[in-house]
Amino acid sequence: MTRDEVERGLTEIVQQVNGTDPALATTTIFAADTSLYDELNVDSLAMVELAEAVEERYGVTTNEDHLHELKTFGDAVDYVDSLLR
Amino acid sequence: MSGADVVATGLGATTPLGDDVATTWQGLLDGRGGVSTITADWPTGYDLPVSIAAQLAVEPAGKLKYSELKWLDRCEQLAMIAAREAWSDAGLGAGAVDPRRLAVVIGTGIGCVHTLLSQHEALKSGYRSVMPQFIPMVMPNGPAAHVGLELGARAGVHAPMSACASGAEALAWAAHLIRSDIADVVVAGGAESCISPVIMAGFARAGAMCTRNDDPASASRPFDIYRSGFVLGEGAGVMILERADFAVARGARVYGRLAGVGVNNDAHHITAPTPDSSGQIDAVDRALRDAGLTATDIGHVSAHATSTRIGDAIEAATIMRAIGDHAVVTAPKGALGHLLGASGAVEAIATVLSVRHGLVPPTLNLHRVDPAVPLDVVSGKPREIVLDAAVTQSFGFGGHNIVLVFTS
Repeated sequence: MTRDEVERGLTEIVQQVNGTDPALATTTIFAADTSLYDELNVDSLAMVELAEAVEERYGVTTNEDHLHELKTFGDAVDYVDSLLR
Repeated sequence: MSGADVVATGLGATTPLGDDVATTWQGLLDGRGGVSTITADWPTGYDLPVSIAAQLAVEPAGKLKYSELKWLDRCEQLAMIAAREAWSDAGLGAGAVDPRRLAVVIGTGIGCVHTLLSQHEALKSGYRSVMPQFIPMVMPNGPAAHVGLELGARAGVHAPMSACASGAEALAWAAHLIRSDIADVVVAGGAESCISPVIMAGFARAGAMCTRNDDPASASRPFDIYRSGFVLGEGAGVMILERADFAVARGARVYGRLAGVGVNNDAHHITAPTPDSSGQIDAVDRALRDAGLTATDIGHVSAHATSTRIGDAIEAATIMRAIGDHAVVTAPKGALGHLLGASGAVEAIATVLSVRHGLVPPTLNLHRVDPAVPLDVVSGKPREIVLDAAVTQSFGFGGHNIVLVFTS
């Protein structure tokens, strides 16, 4: 799976878990430096759903300690990318 | 009254009569009823004796964001809708009040029961089917907490729990916060949404509910000789209360003054009021004393009257003995049904509007007054009166008695 595909997949997943109205969801990939918490509204509760969605979509197992370290969208892409290697 | 004067400067509500204060108030004046047969996905097969309720006039969906519909329990949603209307009505723009001087007090009677039930169903599909957001969606301080979060209230966020008196108690505590110089502005009220089979089964088992399913429009009939129990309703009411000089300094419109509060407890029985009315009378006495008024000053009483046989009769005796038969009485639950933890707040809004406009709405379905109610209860059409001071009464399971005095 290419990094571009991971970015697209995570853009979808973030909007599934952060309360975005599906009718208003964007397909434009978020910038790597976009803050997960402050700008994308992924709080600790939404992060639980994000991790589950990642596991379901990519067949990987996430690590809670690593999840807590993710600050930006780019961090999340890096982390999922690393799980897929 | 000790401490600062407390005034009402903003009102908000969503009720079985309308999704704002103006529509609700007009509905009360017009004698419209909010009770109907429950239609929305109502389950059958439980052998429930009750299939009527006072459901919201307007669903919350059109007033809330997608994320709020997803992550707020319906009770929390109603609190948000009422609080936003009240805040806007008060004209409190950005920076109008120091967040450290802004508090929220919003109570509920039952709590966020819809989420509890839906997540219990979800659990049957496995642990991971339960939403991570479940706990903040079910906690009974959720309605107050979400409003506090939105407004950035840092002088305290509270959620009084006194069953059907919760909304009124919230207003009483708001007055205390202002008088104690803890806050300049308090967003206060109550919210309730628990029209569900298990809650209705519980109230019905307690013998408190009207089962007049074939005639919902006339089911809720406070003080009527043929009353037979309450009709469950849902809604929210929120009032912006302010220190009077703070409100005057910012040029706010003042609806009326919360001049006195009386809070006590029967300490008699977990659900039944003291038969001799002594607890309720004491609460009225406390409120009058707090307001610096006497019974003869009170021109109007908005009664708690839920349409139960015993409760209405005990309250009528309270009004007779604590205030007198000169007061013009109304019972809003004939139109609104019983909004439980929201009722005291919504009815307080109606009371302050009665004082402001000199108009007392009629009591719906009062065709033949119970001889045990020798009071001047308005029915048929609104009554115009010269009104300087009015009382609204709220009582709750647990023995809670809350009496508020509003003046012009």
